[in-house]
Amino acid sequence: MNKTNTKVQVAKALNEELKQVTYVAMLPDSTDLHGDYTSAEEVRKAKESFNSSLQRANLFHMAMTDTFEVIESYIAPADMVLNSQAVTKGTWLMTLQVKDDNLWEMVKSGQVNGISIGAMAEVEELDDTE
Amino acid sequence: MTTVRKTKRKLTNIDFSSETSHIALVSPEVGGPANGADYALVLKANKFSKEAIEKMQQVQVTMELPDFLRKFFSVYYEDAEVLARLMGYVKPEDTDESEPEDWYENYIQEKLDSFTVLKSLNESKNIADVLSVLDEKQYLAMLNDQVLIEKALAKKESEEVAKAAESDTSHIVHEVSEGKTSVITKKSKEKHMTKPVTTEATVEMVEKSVLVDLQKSLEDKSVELQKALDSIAVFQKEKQEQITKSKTAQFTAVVKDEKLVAPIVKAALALESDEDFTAFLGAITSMQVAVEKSKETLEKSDLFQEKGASVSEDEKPQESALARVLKAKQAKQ
Repeated sequence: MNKTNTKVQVAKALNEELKQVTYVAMLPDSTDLHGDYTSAEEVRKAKESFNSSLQRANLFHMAMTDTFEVIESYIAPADMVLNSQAVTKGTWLMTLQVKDDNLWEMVKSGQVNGISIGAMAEVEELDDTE
Repeated sequence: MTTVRKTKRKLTNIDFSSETSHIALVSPEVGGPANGADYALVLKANKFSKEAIEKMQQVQVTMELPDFLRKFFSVYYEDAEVLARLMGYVKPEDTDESEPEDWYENYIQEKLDSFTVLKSLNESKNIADVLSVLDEKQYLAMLNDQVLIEKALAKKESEEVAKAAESDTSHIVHEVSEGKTSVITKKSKEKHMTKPVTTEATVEMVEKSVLVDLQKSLEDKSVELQKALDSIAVFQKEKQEQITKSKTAQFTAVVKDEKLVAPIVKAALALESDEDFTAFLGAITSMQVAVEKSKETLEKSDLFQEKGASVSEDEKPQESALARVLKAKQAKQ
């Protein structure tokens, strides 16, 4: 069977990258890698405190930066799936606007893989039995 | 996401009001995010690689050759099928081929066969051998196609000749002779194939003779027309001369003086309408009559009667003494 192959050039309009990324800031009712537990209510309060603050941006907890800024900060109103990841209700989500191309490349490549909060908090040491 | 970890501390009243509070981007090198969510939930940008984008920019369409001819070159459905197969396209096996499509396949195949036969005839050295292996259908199909081709060629050539005839009548004969040459050439090429070629040549010859006759008749008519125009001119000239003579005679009858007749007739002939001429003639006649009457009256009157004075013998003047002396002296001498 003979077939003919016709290649037609089609120009696709590629939107310029928004350079926005959404990360999980805090999980409700969970213990983080450091063994710190935060309830859903405390996560909500922390989000409200952050939203009313100056919302400073920092790189690796080492230096303040203007290479990105927080443009959205909210609590997930329901369980949902974002980018094939399950998001539990009460999760504090944060969307960042990246302003630096190099940083954006790091975000896309996974060299930067999340966010971490730096704030004051009341810490209650728990017994090992708890 | 909800991995159970050993809880060491409980955090409350997290406060971002201090100057050092912040939100930090972290990397795996620094341990990643403490919440363990080391992934981006939404990345508002194309996550396509450069290679993927290049691939997307080139849309590759694969289709059957007949479809390609129909869609991109607007070839008619059956023609596209025949043309594709002539180019070597083989229709894929269709297991669901239904009965009603058989007629279409046969139709395409017949057209294709006739073209194949024509091609083989054209390429073969011994046409008779090739013709001898054709069955009845193939031969008929071939003849039909050939008739169509020859009709198309004849029509095209006749149109060209007609166009040439329209554009320049003086070149008709020349163009026709060229057309004839080309026809004859074709004839010698295709004559071996079948008889209809001879028919085509006959048709061409008839058209040529018609053109020649037409041209001849046109020339004859032109000559006749010229003769008629000459006759009319002669007739008009004679008629004009008669009119001139008649008018001259009319004035000659009225005006007796020959010296006056010529300029009056000249003036009268210059008048365009007969009414003006008649009026002019009437005026001249009236004037002439008036002149004649005046002349007659004058002749009868005493005004121009020559009357000399009568002298009696007694009234003769006496010769003077001086005259008498001179006369006498002259006589003596």
